[in-house]
Amino acid sequence: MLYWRATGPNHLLEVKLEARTGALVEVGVVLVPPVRVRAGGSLQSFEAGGNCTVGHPSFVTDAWIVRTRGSELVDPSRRRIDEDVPFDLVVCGDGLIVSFTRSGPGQTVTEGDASFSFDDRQELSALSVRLTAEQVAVLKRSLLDVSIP
Amino acid sequence: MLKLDHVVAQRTVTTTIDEYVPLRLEFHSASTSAD
Repeated sequence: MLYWRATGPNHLLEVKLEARTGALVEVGVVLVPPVRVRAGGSLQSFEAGGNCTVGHPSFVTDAWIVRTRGSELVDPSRRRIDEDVPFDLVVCGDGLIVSFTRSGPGQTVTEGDASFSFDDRQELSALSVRLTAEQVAVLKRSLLDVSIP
Repeated sequence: MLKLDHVVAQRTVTTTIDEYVPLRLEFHSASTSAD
């Protein structure tokens, strides 16, 4: 596995990729500062625009290949790349958006309830996931301190 | 920053939300190797 983290003193998002293919395996939002969380309307605005492809994203792994020299038998820390990239969480009525930049999508890859946006340089700019009302209520309570009756 | 290389066949998505981990998405494929 290969690991990428958007991390800093008060934020952490972890991404796990398949070493052989670069395919996305897991995304986890672990820590986000309250100032980076806000309420939004619906996912519809996020999903609009750009070229849309149905499938699963596979990422460029050149940076890891340089670090590991293509070998799987290396110090595990060499499989991990950390970047101080801040991100915003937008809790919508029907899902959650994780946004890295404010640029509009150049390409969108959708996969079930998840959707990934890429800018014109093909870099991940945002991701979203459609959630149930119960899951949204949990996020509003824990992130926005809003109680849903 | 993560850069898109290409798009492959869809996988099964599992979403986890709780009060301690705001979001976890896991993607499962029958052909996924444990590398």
